[in-house]
Amino acid sequence: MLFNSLQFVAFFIIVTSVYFTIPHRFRWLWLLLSSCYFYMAFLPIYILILGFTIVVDYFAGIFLETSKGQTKKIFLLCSIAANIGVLSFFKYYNFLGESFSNILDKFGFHTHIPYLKILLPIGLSFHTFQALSYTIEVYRGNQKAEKHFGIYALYVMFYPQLVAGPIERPQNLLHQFRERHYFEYNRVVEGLKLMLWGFFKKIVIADRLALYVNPVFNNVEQHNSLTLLTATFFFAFQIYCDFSGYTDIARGSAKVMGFNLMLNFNRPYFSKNIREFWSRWHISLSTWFRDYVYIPLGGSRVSTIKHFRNLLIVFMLSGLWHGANWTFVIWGTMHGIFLIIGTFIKLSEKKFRLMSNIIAQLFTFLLVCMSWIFFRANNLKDASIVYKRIFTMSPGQFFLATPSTFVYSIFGIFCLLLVEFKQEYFADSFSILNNTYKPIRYFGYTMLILIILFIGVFNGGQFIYFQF
Amino acid sequence: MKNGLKNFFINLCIFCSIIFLLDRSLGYLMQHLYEKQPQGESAITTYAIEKAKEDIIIFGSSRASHHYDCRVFQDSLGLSCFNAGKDGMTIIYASAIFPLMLERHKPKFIFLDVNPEELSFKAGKEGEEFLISTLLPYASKYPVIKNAISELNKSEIVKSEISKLYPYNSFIFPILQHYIHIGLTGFNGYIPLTGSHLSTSNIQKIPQIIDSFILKKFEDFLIQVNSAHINMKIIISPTLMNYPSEQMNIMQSLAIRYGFDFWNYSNAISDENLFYDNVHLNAQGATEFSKLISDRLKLLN
Repeated sequence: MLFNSLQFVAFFIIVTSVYFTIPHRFRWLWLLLSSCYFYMAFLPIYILILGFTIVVDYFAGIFLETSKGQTKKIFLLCSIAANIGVLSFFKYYNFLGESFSNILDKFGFHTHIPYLKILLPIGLSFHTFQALSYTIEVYRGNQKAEKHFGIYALYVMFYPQLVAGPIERPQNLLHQFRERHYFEYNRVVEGLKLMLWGFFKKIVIADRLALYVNPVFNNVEQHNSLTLLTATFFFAFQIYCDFSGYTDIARGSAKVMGFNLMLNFNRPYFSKNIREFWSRWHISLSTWFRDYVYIPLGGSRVSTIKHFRNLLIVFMLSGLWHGANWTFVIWGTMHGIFLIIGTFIKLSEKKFRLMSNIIAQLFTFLLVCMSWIFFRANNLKDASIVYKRIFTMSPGQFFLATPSTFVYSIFGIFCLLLVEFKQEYFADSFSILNNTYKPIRYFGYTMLILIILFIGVFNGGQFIYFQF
Repeated sequence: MKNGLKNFFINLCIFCSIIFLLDRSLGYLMQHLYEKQPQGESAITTYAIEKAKEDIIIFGSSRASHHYDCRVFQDSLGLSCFNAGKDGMTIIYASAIFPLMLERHKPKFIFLDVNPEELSFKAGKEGEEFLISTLLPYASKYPVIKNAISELNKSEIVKSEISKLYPYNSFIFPILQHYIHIGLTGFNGYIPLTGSHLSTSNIQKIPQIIDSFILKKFEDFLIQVNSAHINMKIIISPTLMNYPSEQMNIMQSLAIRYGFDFWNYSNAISDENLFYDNVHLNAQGATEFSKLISDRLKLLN
């Protein structure tokens, strides 16, 4: 079920109304059943895969808590193997098979690894990582094993964050399912506001930009330098609004029911360097990699070479997490390299201080945009064509899509930047949606809804990050 | 909690009422602006549905809209002509608006410009959303159009019933453009393309799966025209692309079955200077092609 569908609006109203109506002791069951229905609306059979990993991790958690030493490690490894095994099979089998076969072909060994026609279970990477964080935290002793199977299943399946995060930690989420949530006017309104802003970002900005970006990136050879550059900038806003829009709707719908999900985006395009970018972009994933990969590898408290190695490993894995394609691996590696270069600049920054904040922000945005090319391109060949055509100032006619698409896209980006600029630099000053005067607040809500109705794209389809 | 809930519902009701009133009033305003547009593609559709009474009516996609110069037919045949072709449209569009036109007027000739590929369009859902958004502003007024949309996507009708603004979604900028006279210029629905922007590479592969729904719509349209006893010419206008023979043969055999002429001009013009792109003639090419059609019609009559 897509958040940007009428079906979801009805689902949300029913689930929330029943949630507040039924006694507290039945709420976990209601949320679990609703989450199952939500997930099964995509492809029902795949709930069995989710069920399998839930059962494995539930028992792994209990055994991890009671066992010690080598046995404890074995249980952790079993849990990791089950989760990563499922993820690898569904997400990476064909990719690894094809890559392996290509390598062997280059050495003259012709092999045929059968291609499996399987659909990737929606949001598999997200709930796999969330489940892993549970077993790892239980192993580390930071989290008690959850004895209630239903509550544990709900931790993995909680519908707002089931298919595209935020990737929660057990310490933040599990206990919330046991808390009694009352209907609190201010919290409910806050949640609905967050949802409204999420819908605006998805329907008005992301899906509109997709109408320009998709035809360009699906036919890169036909377009000139300026068009490709515009499409790249547009994609930067498209993916941000698509993903952060989803997160806002997820956090908002959870908040209405009384649950607090972690912040996943914090105005990333205002970052002054790549390190800051990753502390503002997809925070739940970057902190996951930090806590469970980067720090265990030694983090930055090792020799410089090992530190750089750790950065590269983490970002390559992060790229691979996003998709089974070399374009994602290169995208991740680029960010790793940017961070390494950033470390040198940081060292010499004290001496040179060449960049003011604005230049640093623009430069960081430019670097991020350049890396998005690999993220968005359909394959490596297309990505190289885009770079080549951009940097050789390839001539040709500028692609406008339709004038209205272009105008609405610019308007959407302008609205986003205006709101985020205000939030970044004037957080405590005049606010429309949080104004103390009701008419001003209502004016803000009404404007957002009318803009959605006037220029929103209602058939934009699924969120980009669902494929991961 | 009870007070919070009560306050919430009171405020929600007030807010929903505001949104409802604004949606209705702005929706009616948009409807008025949409219907009274002095020019543009939507104005062509409105004219075709509500006013067209010409002797020759042309149906089809962008290839119809840009290939049939009504002035040529008027000058050489002495018959009035209206080009109801529209960018991105398929036979579904023609079959949705034709019954409304027929209620008011029976044309002497219909030129149905076909693209054999369109028999495969719905298989890939190509253009379906655009088609729906083109027809949706007329759905509340004309049940035929409402039914045509329902066959494609029922939820669109539901959405348009919930919100009066929804059918005019994304139209605000084009409407304003047309009121301040920026944009399309044409003659009786014919919109000429100027220049030549031929591309030599990456011509998209033609989809081969025939969609039974589109095929049925095509046949239904032929039956409708046949029962109205209108002389229709089914025409493939010039292109630089190769069309799939299977689709072309199906169209031809259906045309013959219902007693219509099937004129294949796909290779009639090979001079690249007369093309705007691989599938569209430019203004000069359209004039040449329109002359070919009108000469052939003269010979027949």
